[in-house]
Amino acid sequence: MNVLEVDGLTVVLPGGSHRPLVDGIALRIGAGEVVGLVGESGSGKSVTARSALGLFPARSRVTGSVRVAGTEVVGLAGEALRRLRAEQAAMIFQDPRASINPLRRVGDFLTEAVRTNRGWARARSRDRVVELLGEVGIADPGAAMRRYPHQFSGGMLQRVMIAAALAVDPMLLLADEPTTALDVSTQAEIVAILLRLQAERGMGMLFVTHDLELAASICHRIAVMYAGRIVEEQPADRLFRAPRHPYTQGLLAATPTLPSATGGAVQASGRLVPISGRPLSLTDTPPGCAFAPRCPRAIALCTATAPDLHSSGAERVACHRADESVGAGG
Amino acid sequence: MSLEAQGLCKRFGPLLAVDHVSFSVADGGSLGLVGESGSGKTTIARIVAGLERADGGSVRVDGTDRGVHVRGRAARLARARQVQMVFQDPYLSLDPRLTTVETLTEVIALHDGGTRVARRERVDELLDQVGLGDREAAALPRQLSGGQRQRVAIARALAARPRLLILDEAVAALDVSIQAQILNLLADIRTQTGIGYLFVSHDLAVVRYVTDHVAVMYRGRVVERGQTAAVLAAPRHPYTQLLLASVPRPGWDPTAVAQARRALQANNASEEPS
Repeated sequence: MNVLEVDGLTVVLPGGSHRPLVDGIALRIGAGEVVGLVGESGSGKSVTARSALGLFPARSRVTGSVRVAGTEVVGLAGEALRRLRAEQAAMIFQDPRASINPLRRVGDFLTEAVRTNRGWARARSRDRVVELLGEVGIADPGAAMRRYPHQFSGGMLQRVMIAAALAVDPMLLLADEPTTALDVSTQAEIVAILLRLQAERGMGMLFVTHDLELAASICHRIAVMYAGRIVEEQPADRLFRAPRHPYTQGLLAATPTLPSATGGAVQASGRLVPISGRPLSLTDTPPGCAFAPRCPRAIALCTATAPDLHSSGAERVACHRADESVGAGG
Repeated sequence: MSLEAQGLCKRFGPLLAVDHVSFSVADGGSLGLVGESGSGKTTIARIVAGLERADGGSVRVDGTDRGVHVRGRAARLARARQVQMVFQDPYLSLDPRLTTVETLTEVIALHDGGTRVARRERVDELLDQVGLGDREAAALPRQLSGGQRQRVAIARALAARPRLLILDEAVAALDVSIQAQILNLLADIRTQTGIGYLFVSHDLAVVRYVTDHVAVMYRGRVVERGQTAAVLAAPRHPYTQLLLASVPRPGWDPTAVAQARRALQANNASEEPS
């Protein structure tokens, strides 16, 4: 069963002079599956992730369909929307400090979710929260509940946020750059916790990140976004070995790597291959492929018409020249 | 030596943020200062730049001691131009009301003086060096992309003709495709100008592309140093090994990294007199 089904999702800001924030997104996440959504700033990955909670930019025009465990989210409002966010999907954000009330004790913050959504009594909620804090690896849950957010390190606070997200037993976990603000060795801890809990509970997880290597090492499947569209989707290992879209190839070539990396040869010169030019701004609305101005393989067709996302087997790619570029990865 | 730091110490209240740290940057060399938050790397960068006063130790640039007070405008300017700094977020470090040309002209007028024509020539030279065109030259910071703004910040630092450039997480806020452009730009500028770099970063993979030596910091101390390639290929200190293992890559095992981290922390807790 799919816990998330997105079809033809298009979000347009009011005004009309902009290209859509996201354009024709289609995405599936099965129960127990970890799917990565990778792209640079402004590519639309966060807009896509937030759509699963019915969080759309103010006054934007939304078309298409987003179903979480069968429930249609587009157009959902009031009590039904509240129930979706309380019971079916939960989100973890990049900066835990920006998403928790600094004036309230962590215990109050955590029990509130259980008490309001489940209607449990104080003692039962407390027991549940202690259990959750234990699951995310906080050593003394009782003491942790009495402390304030500023008394936690970034990594510890992100564990608290994970506990809060899991308090409602969601079927879909949305993780929006959950480790980007953390130190690199802390990142490993948080990722390990997320993956363990995701597997134990059989949740579907959408992992949003700008870090292709991170996505490749933890996700089953990865969708790459550029300028509001999914340009490529493949099983994680294959995307890394044999990227089909020139943008994905460019991203991989531009990513600094360590010499001891096990996958692939690393050039000795220590010079990166950047992608020329810069990402499209929202006001740029080229008729053709959004990546064409930066693409080393672009031909006349690319600047004239936008390529569709073609599926074959487990992979999807939106490139006029995808069939020629097999194995030509950078 | 373009930079020699000896026995730097800095205490913030009960915290010894920098604990007897010494290092040097050869003429035209590039030293990476690597560590996680709280390791003391930014405090060191700020001490070298003169934004923070060390409790102990000395910083010498081109043989002159930067801890000694100087008097008079000329001496202060000479001192200021020796070391320039590029910060993580150019949006916060550029004046939002000045165009690129105005930003650069201000620095050139201060340090070089010269005629209007000479200043404009120097501006063009700098724009050329960092790869900015006419549109970007006339633009305000908000009209530029993140990568372009960082190019302006680099040009502004170069405008003073420094001996040493401090780059504090200078590419950390940039998207990967743009980050690669800036890393290559930094490598080119060092080859062309012979300016020394002190490159402060949390990112070992990035350090590999801009530095030839690296010092790894942990809790205010340098725990490992050496040639960047050698340290990255065969790290000796457990903390360096942990940092390297923490970088995601195919086959990466976050659970094993998390265990190694806890073991290291437990080790340190038992060793330290607190």
